[in-house]
Amino acid sequence: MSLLNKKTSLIREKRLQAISAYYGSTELLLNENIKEGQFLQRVRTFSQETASDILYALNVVSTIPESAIVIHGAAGCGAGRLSLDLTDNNDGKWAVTNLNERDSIMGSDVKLREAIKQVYKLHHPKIVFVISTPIVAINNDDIETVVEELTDELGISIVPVYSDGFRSKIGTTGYDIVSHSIAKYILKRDSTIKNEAPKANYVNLLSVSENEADLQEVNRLLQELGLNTNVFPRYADLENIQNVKNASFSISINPDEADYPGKIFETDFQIPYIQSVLPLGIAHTSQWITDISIATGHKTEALELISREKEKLTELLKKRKFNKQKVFISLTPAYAIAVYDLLVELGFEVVGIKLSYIDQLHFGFVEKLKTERPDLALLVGEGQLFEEENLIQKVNPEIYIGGKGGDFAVPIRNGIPVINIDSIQIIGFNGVINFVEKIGRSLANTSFTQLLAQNETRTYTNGWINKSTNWFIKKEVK
Amino acid sequence: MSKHILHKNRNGCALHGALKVVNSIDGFVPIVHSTAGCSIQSKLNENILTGSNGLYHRGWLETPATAVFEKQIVFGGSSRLREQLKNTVKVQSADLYVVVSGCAPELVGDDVPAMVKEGQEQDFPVIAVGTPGFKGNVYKGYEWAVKSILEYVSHSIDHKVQKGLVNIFGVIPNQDIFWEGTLAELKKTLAALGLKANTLFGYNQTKENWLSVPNAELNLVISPWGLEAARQLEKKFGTPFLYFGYLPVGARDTSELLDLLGEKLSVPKDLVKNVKHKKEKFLNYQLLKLAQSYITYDFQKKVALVGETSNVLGISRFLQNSFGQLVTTVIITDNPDEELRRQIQDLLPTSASYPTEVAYTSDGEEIDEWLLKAKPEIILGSGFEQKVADELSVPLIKISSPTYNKAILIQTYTGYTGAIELLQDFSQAIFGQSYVKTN
Repeated sequence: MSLLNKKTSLIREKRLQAISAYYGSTELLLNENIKEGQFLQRVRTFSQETASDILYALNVVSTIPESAIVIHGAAGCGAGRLSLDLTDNNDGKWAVTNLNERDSIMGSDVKLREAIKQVYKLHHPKIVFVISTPIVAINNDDIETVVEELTDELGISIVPVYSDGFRSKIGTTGYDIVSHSIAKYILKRDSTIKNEAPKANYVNLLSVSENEADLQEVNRLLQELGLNTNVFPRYADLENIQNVKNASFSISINPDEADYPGKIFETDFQIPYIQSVLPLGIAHTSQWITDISIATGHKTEALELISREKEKLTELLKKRKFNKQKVFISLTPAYAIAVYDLLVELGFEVVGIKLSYIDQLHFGFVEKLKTERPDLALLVGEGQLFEEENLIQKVNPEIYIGGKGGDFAVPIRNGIPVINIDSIQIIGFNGVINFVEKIGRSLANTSFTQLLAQNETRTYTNGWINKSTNWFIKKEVK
Repeated sequence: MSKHILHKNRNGCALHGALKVVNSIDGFVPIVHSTAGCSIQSKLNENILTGSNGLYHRGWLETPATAVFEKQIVFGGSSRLREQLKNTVKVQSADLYVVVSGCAPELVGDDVPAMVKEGQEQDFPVIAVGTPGFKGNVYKGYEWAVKSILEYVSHSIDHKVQKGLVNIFGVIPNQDIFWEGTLAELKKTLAALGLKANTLFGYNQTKENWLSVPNAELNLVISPWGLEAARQLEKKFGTPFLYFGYLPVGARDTSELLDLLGEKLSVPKDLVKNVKHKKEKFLNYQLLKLAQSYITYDFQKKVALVGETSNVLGISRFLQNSFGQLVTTVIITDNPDEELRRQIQDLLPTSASYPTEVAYTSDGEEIDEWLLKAKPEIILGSGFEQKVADELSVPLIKISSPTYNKAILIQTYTGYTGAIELLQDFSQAIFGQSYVKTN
């Protein structure tokens, strides 16, 4: 069944039964509604700010070379885009339709048409992304017609990205929407893209949010297996996008983020999707290489590669001894799961885990925790630092591991050294070395951490800190 | 280009402006009533782009927010806001909660004032500012938020004029990249005359400072965006205001400000004279140290400035009137109205043979075009101008948002001391350029 017939991707809550609010035991989480194969939805009666699907979508499309972006909304909806000008490949080729009060009542298609034409004239992009925002979504303004007409008139790919800021509480939905849109409006519509026979050893490397250093490490490992990669959608130019159809497999790096493009390519273009774990840590990287090698027929190379890399690592790790320090993990699910296993392997004690959301893809991990660590409760939420503060003051970690869009205010206030995994190259075997080195450094000198903890300002009331962490998380009333 | 579409827009929306206001007052807590992401857009902008990383006692993901979703868009989000208000007071204590509402609640017609009134009836210190992005930009957001807070603090106040107390309006926290340094410098400058500046934003500024606003003898307005507040206070309390309109940089303008303040607040003439003399002498001494380099490395340049009215006008005046520069291009990005534009034109010094072109736009493509055409030899602007600066092979000094790659804890080009800071950065920029050229 084609997924691309739909206007846009299903939200994560519907597609994978994702939940964004929970605190409690893994046992309770599994016992609730397990028969229907889904976690129980909850809502917060007090919440703090989170990013929306719009920002996630912008984050990916901004890396696509030779493209331009039209943010279709009020001028402020481009404010977050500014920060991406530091790291993007888009080179500042973006505009906002700058909707005013009149447009919010009378409709905005004239401005959209004008904006697309202007960015085309100014930058001659090969692709124009149109990012939808709340005003446009609430008014149900017609984007499709403008896109259809201008695609014909300008002869370039125009890709509407139907983000809206309110359908999903899981920001990652924004990533799915981008993959859906590119596949639907470029790969599926453009009949001139040749559908060659799949090339052997040519694979789609599904990368949505990895940085360039991590991508390099992944590519290094895949090359050792004799595989050539076509990266999608992050950093993918029009040629990469068109080449998707020629690959013999699709491979995930982050299984949460690759899940949707992997499934689209499998259902709509018959490209098998190799789903595996996030290659972070020794065990997971080995597992990832093994899974790929079995599917692509490179088992011998894989065995050699794994044993060679492991040997190197064992030597290095012998020098580092960690003494069961207590660690708190606050990350997106795939990273939290991989980092948890790596920390256990390195001899740390995990005292708390916060995941930005969880869904069907994480049942296995929750089941494993239930067996291994029945005492360990899970906190689920993106942002929501008030809950993190409440929990951290109860479990007293000595190290905090976070990143992937997280905020470090809680460990900073509490004098806990922070490892920001975004600041290091963490994927693959080389990532293990960097991670261990970073922890070693952070613990070697904590003078700044200690200085900051002397601050007297309080952010939360004592009343809140003394309450149970899940006080404001309630079962949804339908 | 159509003036409706904005390319590479550097300014956030009204909701962002209001958040910048509330987040810069100790003990004030904003509650965002909008779809998810609105406040993150603002934080992404200011944390990374104005050099500061926010106040860590309140992280960049710690603002209470209703994050309304589909159901509340369809059926209305008022009850969600009520629930959020009720619970916010249990989690984050504050002297004042300020509900800032965005585009979605405005479009679906949530009754925010009714919810806030309910809270007030229960004695919660809470107010609301409607800040839909489609109604105004970040500067309007500052104006509206300040207006609402002033209405609240002056509601039932028994005001008594306090001799020498001066409120400062018009410096926009975390939008003006020098805001905190500028306010500190103005405070020091006023203190030299025995005056007490009520800066209202930044370090140690609390509800107490806002409660004393009606007691001021004078309101000092240093950008167009403080005018509304000054008019509001004049009407309600009869407080006179001084519209200076830009930031004084260097001896000439700072001394002029001191003269005006002295006059309006009856500061002894001798005191004003002595302060001016002392400060000017010190600044001139520093300027003299730069004289040889000025000639050796040919400091005289055709200068372009890009940024908000207050900084651009102030810095332009110093560079042209006191530092021998040829200010040939001025691009103002905060969209002042027609009347103010005429005033700005009058305040801009120029030389007949090197006239100053003035443009009003926040469109990045238009700004690039202006600069490429004008071919300045040095640019004072935002990080956005880096590309053009590179293309023209000229140095860039950052004076406006977005900055990129610059941490500003406390710095300013305002006042007597600020001018010294500016000259150091100006010199460094020229030396850097000479180094590149000769190597």
